[in-house]
Amino acid sequence: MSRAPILSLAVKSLMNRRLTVGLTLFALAVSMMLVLGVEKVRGEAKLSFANTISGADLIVGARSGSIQLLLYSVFRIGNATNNISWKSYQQIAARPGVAWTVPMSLGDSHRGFRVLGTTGDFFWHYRHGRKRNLKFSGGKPFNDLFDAVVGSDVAKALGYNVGDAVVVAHGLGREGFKTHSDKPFKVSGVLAKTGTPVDRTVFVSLEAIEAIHVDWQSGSPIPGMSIGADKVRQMKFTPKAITAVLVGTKSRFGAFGLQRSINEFPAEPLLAILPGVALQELWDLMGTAELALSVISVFVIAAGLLGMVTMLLAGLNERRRELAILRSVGAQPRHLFALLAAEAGTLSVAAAGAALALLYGVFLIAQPILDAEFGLFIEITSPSRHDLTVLGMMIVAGTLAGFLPAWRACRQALADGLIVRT
Amino acid sequence: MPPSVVQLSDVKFRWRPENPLTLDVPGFELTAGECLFVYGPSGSGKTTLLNLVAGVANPEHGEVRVLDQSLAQLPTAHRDAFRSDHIGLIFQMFNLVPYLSVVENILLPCRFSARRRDRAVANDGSLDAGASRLLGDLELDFAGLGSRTVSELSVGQQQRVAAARALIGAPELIIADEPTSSLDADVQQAFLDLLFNEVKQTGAALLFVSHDRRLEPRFTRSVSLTDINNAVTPSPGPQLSP
Repeated sequence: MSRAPILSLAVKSLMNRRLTVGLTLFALAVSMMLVLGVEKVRGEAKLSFANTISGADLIVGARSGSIQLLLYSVFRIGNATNNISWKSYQQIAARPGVAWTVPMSLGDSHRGFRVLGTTGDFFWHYRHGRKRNLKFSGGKPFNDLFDAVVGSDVAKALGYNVGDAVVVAHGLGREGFKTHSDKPFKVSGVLAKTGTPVDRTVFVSLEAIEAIHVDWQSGSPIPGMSIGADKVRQMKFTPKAITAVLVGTKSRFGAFGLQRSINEFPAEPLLAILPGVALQELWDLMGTAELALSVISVFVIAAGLLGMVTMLLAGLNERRRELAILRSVGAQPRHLFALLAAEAGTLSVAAAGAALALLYGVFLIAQPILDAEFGLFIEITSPSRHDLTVLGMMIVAGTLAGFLPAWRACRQALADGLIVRT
Repeated sequence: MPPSVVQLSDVKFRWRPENPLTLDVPGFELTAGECLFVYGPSGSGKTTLLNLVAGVANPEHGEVRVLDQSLAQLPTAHRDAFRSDHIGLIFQMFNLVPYLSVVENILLPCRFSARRRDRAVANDGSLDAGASRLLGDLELDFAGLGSRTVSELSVGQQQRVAAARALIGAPELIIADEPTSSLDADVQQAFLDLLFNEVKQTGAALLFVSHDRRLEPRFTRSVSLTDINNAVTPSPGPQLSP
């Protein structure tokens, strides 16, 4: 009857000071929840980023750097140094290990948003996050030559709805470039938010990219030669070149062999990358931001623990008589130390439990909002091993922080003796 | 001659090295079964005497023996354990831990002393039975009060609970520091009756400290602190030392 009795004393003593203890517990729980929440969102953001394009096994483009290829083909940042000839594309598509291909043609823009020429397969094969499909919040994929599908950010920023007209500008400038005003597009569909570059992209068919340039040469309209939209509809278009290709392989392992053989493609210099690997490389470049989040977490929990230590220390003066009584009935300094440490430990454990409850409450409320506004889907799962480790570390830190008031309690009790005349 | 329970020989004590002596007692003894009344005005060294006998303070000179054990020879932790095994303490007021029930308060010494716990179980069969018997002896109703929190009790009831706590597990020495000064006169007498009765049953020694000499006739022996403490001048003026 020497260890557990102290714990039961600690619990009863805490219950006796419900208000201050409750507020302290709440503050500690909120800081623990923030740490857990930040960790969770960080993990999900990383996962979501690493899966910006999770459907394709390979991305193929003209030979350059893997991050450069990733940046222009997936993030629409920067430009391709070179194109892939249509012939090479067809050869790759015909390889035995290839399950599907989605050609992509970049180079035009629409009021600051990139225009991507592709096939309807893009909407089928593109996956993001945890293998999530693209969804249409309105309309459907392009059907007509001059149909366009817009990402959710595009629709929101430009106020586009299904049926609106879109004029594509040649080149990538925001304004003031030559436009393809003679061949306007019609919005056939609007995509739901994904949290990926898809949101900021205007999709048209590959043929449309060729069609709007049919009467152009070397980047400007051929004088005196203007072919109207209706006439163009009658024509057949086969692209001469595309910018990049998304490739799906029949087996995951086939991707490695295919990657090697594409990299040694004899007809032209090509580069095939595994998007997951390249995305990981890119994420690692942003390691500082991740570190900053971790540092903030540490400070948040330190603030919470400081609050608890302050409460326990402030309470010691009011509890001088209580501690003297305990000492008079035989509590040794180590018992008083254990009492205060047990109070800190109990508070930490209770706060950890409350933090988990708060966390799930917040996620239940925030999940649809985060998904709709940021395309960040937080999967609500039971606490991971990592979560429990973080919680365990915070409980240990809380108990250790209790050593300061515990030590003070011993000092005070020894100085006070048995009779406190206050 | 009954065995000695408390023995002070040539004890000198001061709270700080720069302060004058608070206590200078050439000799003092309390034997088993004795009920000793120690009186003196405030500042005569009552608190100091209790702290020395309870082993909370150490004399700079001389020796304090309790149950033939020299307290100075025990390390602090052992002195605390020794106190919880052999000494029951009752203070003037606010004796009880506010967040524990009446029974939990009474059984507190049994949390820290296996000896007291074993003796309580040996005497009464179980801890609850021991607490119940003491409450009954002290004319408190176990069923009605046992699970109450102590803040619901009157001061007189609180002091009886404190007495029950000092008596549980039959320690050899009961130290009472002005336990009746916050009680009404008739409650005082009843409290003393109950205390004497219990002490007689267990054969413990009672060291009762008070400034109120009206209680003196009821004790077997009485000692004036101003007589035995050479550090105090017999005609005390206002003093500030503890």
